[in-house]
Amino acid sequence: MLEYAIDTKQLTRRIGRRETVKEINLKVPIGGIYGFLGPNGAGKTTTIRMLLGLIKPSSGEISILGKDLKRDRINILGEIGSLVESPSYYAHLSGYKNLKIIALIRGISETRIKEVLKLVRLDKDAYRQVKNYSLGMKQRLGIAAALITYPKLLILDEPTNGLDPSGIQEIRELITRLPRDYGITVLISSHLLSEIEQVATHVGIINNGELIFQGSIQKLTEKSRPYLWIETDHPEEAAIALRQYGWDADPELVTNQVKTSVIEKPQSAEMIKLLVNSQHEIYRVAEKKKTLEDIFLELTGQEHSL
Amino acid sequence: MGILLRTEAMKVQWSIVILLIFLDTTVNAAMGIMQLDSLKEFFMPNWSTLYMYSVNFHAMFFYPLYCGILASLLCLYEHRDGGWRTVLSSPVPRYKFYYAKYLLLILILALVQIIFLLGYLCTGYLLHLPGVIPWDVLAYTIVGGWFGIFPLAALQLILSIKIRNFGAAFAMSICYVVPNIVLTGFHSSIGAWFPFTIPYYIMMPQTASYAPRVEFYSLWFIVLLTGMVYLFSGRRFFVRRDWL
Repeated sequence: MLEYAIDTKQLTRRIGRRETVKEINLKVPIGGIYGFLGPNGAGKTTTIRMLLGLIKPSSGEISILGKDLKRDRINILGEIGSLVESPSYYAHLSGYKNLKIIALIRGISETRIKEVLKLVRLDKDAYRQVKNYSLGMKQRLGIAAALITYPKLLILDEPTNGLDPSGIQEIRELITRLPRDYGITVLISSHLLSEIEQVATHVGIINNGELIFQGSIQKLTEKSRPYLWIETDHPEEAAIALRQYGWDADPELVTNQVKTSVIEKPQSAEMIKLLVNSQHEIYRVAEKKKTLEDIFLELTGQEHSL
Repeated sequence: MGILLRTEAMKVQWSIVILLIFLDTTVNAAMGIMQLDSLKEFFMPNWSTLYMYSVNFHAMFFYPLYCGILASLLCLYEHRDGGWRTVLSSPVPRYKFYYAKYLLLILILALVQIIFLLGYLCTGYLLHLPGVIPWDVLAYTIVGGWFGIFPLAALQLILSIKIRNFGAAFAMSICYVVPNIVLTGFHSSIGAWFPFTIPYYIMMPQTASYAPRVEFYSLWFIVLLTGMVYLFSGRRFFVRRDWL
């Protein structure tokens, strides 16, 4: 039984001396929704283009649905539906004709065109020129084009780019339905964690061309350990006082707070008692959990740029 | 391959192609009629003379220019909204797409020749020209001219794939065609190395007063050689290219 729909080994893409993708081992489990996350320019689209054989890797191997991409490119492409970056279309043709072109090349029936048009709710606008479509409609047409072949693997690069909230919601629902209803494995890339965390079962985070995290979404959530924040008048001295007693504590001078990883109730009581006894004013005490967004920013080292 | 040719044809804005072809035919017919009249003291107005006038502008200017415009047009659709990505992530070997584009391009160029011929015949009949229609010359120059455009078509296809901007590609086609007036003045064994001159060398009848200096075998050797080189280097380029 095949475990991974996409399995890359030390996948690297070099442009001159610069490595835009560095030794990535992507493991996309069959039947999962894999969220491929990273800030803009991290190497997501480059990786996806390599998966589709649009550009060649400088080194490393790509295996898709158990086949080697170098040897079986044509067969593999037959089982993949994709939407890379912006949707691609012929603006002067109708939505229907756009799909018809793909259907002819791939040997797909007329009825399937109608089916996917219905699936993305473009059946009413099928005979209008695509250049008169809204961005959301173009995006949906792109998804219809990706789904038309009954793919086993769907690769969507930033599929919600430029969509309004209701469009995003719509695409999200469609994506969650796919593995459940049709057994399709989905790889979806985004630079926004909030977009991925609601649909993905697995996550890979890429930054500066390196895969810095890969695993189930639960594994990522586990990283969100809570902290206790104590607001006081002199955080630095308070932190020193706490550390003398062996607690872990860090002062945050800007907000006048002390941060500690100790959150069990008896210990917290001890700490506060200690601070009060050593003449520190305690204004408030709060437990804060790191959101996935914080983790994402922390992992990608981008928290300061905001 | 038949299916690819069909899908490629579906993408073409035929109204533009038809418009271009009729523009070519009308201008050349008009030029023919005008020159037939204004130069009647020098050359006797008959079927052969009309052909010389009509083909002059067509072979020197329109045909090579159209080859460039049509090649750019065929690639324009792909460049504009990421069409290459759809095309090249299809489960079809890349070279087949390349050949489908090339085949469609030369088929449209065949259509240009046919309509040009029909336009010439119509003009001649309308003017009730004396003499016989030079069918053998017509057959050789129309069909030969079509073969003669193959190298340029391959070259233009490569350039159109490389150059994303339609305007730039168009400007370049014009820059090619303008020096034709000078280049076709050379002997064909020199001039024909520039692929945009070939249609003129072939299509201007050797019996005509405007005839360029042509050496039959070297000319066709150049057509064959440059045609093969451009076609296969284009294929190589297309298959190996990184599609960003």
